[in-house]
Amino acid sequence: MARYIVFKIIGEKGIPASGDAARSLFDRTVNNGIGLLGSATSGYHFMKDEYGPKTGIGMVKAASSGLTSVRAALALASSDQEFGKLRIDVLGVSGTMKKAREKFMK
Amino acid sequence: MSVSGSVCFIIVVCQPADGTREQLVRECEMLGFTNFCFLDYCDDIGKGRGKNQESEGPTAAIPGSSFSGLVIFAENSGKALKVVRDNRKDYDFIAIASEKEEVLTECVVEGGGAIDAILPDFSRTKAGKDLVRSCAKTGTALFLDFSQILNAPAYFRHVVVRRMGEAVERLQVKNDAKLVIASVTPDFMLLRSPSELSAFFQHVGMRDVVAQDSIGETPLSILKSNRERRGLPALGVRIILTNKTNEGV
Repeated sequence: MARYIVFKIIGEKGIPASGDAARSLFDRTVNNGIGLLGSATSGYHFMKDEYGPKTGIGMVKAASSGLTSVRAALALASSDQEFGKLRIDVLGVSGTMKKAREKFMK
Repeated sequence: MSVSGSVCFIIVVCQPADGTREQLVRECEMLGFTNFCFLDYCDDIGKGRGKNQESEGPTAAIPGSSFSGLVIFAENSGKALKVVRDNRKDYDFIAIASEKEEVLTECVVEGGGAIDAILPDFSRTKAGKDLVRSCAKTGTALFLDFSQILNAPAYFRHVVVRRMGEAVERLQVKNDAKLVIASVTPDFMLLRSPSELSAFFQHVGMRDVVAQDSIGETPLSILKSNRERRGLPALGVRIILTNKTNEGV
């Protein structure tokens, strides 16, 4: 079972301007938080097409068993070389992309 | 604490603002302290309950627990320690609050395990952190301050996380009453929501975590219904509470 985590990036020096930049930031964050093996077992996947560069809102996918790990990793994000101090707020979690979009991204 | 057999984790996420005292009153009420007492700067010693803030509070939700606590705003450390020593047996919970590091340091050194808590907004000081270590050693109470992780240098973070995991493990093995307060920095960028903290503490091994977003609602009823739904007795609870003062940032 997959879970879709809707997040919002708040950065001191702005937010990623594209889905690729956001993915890069998330990959760094998750790897820092739970490591390569952790991200592999958690089923983490950044959905770059869902990312809104203006709002900083986007979506990542995780296995339901790895949801806690991914959220913990996102909670640990506090700074980045490119964006300075930052926090990644989880706006909500849903079991389908459709519901995640409707509930948290509108 | 005297409620043996129950484990009470109380995690206070606090972004300090004006009216700290009022916040503490509300928090203590929310935590189910029906019979707690605030002493301002220890001036009220000898006047019984002093400026008492007794409240009935939403206590009925945790059966068998009627916590009794003493909160001391201690600027005179000698008196503070006297209060701790003299009242230890009368209260389940004694907390020292002070903005002065030296006061807290003395309380750590001399009060040792007699103190259960250092209140949010104060645990960010070095002395507060020392108190955390002291309490963890004596087993009186444990504080998990999430901002310690975020503030730690990158090369040292894994050590802080590991220690938190070990501390949680220790607490879960020992099934006696404990109090855990995680106070978080006033820096908005370092503040995390209860559900995020909940995820982190679950990740490091804490069970039955309940995230609570608003101080206006009782977390106790949520805990009760959660555990009842799972067929568990309403003991061994962990509470995450936030005063949610971060709106408008």
